[in-house]
Amino acid sequence: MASAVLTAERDSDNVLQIAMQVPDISCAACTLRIEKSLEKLSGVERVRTNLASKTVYVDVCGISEETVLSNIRQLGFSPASFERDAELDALAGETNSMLARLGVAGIGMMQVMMYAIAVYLAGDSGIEPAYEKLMQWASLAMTTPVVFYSAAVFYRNAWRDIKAGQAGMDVPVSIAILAGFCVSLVGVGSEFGEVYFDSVCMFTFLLLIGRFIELNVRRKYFDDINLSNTFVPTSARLEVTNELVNVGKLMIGARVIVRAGEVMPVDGVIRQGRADVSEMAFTGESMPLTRETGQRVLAGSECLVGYVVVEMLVEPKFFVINKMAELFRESTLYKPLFAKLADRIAKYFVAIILLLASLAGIYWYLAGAQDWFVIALTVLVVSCPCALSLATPVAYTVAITALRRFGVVVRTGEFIEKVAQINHLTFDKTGTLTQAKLTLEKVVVLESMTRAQVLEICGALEKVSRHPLAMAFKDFDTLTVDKAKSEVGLGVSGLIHDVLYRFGSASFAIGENIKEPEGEGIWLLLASDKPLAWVNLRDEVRPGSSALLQWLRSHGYGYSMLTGDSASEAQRVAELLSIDSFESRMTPLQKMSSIQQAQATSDVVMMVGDGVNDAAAMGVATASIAISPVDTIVQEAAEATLMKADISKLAGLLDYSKKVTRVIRQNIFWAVAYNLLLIPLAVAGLLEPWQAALGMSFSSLFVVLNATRLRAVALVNL
Amino acid sequence: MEGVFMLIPVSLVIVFMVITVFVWSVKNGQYEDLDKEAQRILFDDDELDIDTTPSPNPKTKDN
Repeated sequence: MASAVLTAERDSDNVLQIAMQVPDISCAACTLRIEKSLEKLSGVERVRTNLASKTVYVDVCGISEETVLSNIRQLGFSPASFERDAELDALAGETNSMLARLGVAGIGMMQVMMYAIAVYLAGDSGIEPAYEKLMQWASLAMTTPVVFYSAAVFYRNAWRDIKAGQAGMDVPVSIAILAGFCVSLVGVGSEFGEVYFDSVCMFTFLLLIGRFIELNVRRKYFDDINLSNTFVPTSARLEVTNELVNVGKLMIGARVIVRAGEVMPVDGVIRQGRADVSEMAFTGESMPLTRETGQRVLAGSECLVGYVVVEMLVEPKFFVINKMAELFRESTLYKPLFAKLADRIAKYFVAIILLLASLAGIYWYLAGAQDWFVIALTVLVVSCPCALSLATPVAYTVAITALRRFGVVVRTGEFIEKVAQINHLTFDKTGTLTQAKLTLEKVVVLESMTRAQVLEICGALEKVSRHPLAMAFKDFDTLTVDKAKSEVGLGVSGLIHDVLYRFGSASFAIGENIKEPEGEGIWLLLASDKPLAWVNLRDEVRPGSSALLQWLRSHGYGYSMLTGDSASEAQRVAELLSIDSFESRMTPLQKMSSIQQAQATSDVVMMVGDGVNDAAAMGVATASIAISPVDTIVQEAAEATLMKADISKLAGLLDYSKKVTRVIRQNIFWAVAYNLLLIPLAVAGLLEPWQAALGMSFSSLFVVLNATRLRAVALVNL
Repeated sequence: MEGVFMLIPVSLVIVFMVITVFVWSVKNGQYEDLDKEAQRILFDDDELDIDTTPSPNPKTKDN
């Protein structure tokens, strides 16, 4: 993946800025080694590394990128492509400036509190007016940068909202801060005036903490998307010209060369050569598999040994790995029902609280109260529904990020809501509960053919199929097939030497059910106009399946198994895993209606599958998850994708979704309760401004911190 | 107690210096990667002094 590895920009002073991602940076020592080594190169002006995002930035003058790259490679690292994400850059800048604002507000708050406490401590006996004025002037000096630098972010947002004709949460916040500051300014000027600098500073500081955490949550989220992109090279070596070409410019059918140590740049079929390929990114299986001519490979898998020519089959945006990243991005757009409602209410809410605050002010003014303006301000602060508007979105952002790390890519946040309600899981058999690594056990020939002839025909037919079954015949590939067709969930058919062969379940092959030979496993029939041979395949149960089902049973979940295979094989697997409810010989449509029937009897069903034949069932199920799919169709149908084929993670997912719902309920309850409780008190004039500031900012902080409890998905011990 | 009239302005000056230094350090990117700096102390400097000339076994790396 040599020279497409990085983004390089040339600066005005002839300084070349190189940015790259080094996925195998795993600790501080790695970053320090890279820094040390690069700094020794002449021509390197500045090196910066970031452990968290695994990025390296180098400024060089007078030397080429290749020099820097080979230096890093010599250290044993493999620099990868890195697209500078404008969004991520902006977010990083925003975090930094937010940190500066937060720091200034924090320091300011501490100082102002100190001056305020001196005055409070003096109590009723009073402090000498000269000292009190000194404290007030000092507080004013400290509060000015807080109000005009730290809080400026609120005014900017508020101004943007007003210009757009909306009223966001920042409008009342800005009014409160500026009005509080102005009232205090008047207080400093007059002889016995009250000041509220401490409240203003505290309000600003605590609100900024909430914003800062929220910003970091969002940044982590985008960091993750970036990491999932890094493993695919952005350029590929064309077979014809031996030149490196941008993958985006390749046409379907283009042939590229992939050598040992390189990462597959495209989804396609091997046309020449063989290689040991690790599909770690998709299956979690680190053991390399041998891939030969005619077999599919996925972009992002690593070619460890060998040399292959790969023909690109689909456009880059349909690469499985790109689809995964896209699904993950899509999940940002989702707004849970409640958040939508909160957004809609918020608009009116802001108008209502402005009205409420002015009414309270007018009432107390007419009643002759001295501090009518302060009461109005207190009402304004206390009634701000910031916490309510943060309650759900923050929780979902944290949850989706955590799930991504856990190995579950969620397409919509709604998935988490739905999984929490699941009480029944329906599993596909082959490839889901079992490993789908089928081995050929036996061939029972019915007509005058040899075993080899049967297998050659089957192998030729299965070339068109992507079903795990087809893998068992990968060694038999000599005959050419015409009009080959794969009927999803049933079998394959095609013309070989002008004879139409059908291979699959008996009902598919000859149109009627005939008795299978004795013996465990899957029996498939090869037929022309008459039955020719039975082929017996055996599949192994996926490790973790049994433990998962046991966990489901003990936690009150129902489960069942649907399979397109024969009754005897279904029986065997069901007995191994002690599944009471299973249905065999099902077509994709039957799977679908079986789920609909279950749903009619008040079951909330999640479909767990892996192949195209489960897509329809996934569509009707309440929730659906695909286990390390190799087809974008399956990814499209399922709402979530389990990246590493570790089925026991489903237990963790079910458990976690309940936790997410719980946290969201707590957040909403707290936010609503806070507003309902404190608004009457504020209107009655029973709240001090600092109490209002504390209450309001703490309620925001509470929901954000509560949401960050969801940071990690606990692996359930099975 | 007259000293207060002197000390409070002095404290203000110090605080503004602190603020300036803090804002400078944030803008300078000192807070961008806290993990690395936290772990740096665990590694000896000379251990990291590696030869950049090609080594017989360039694939080795320590994790």
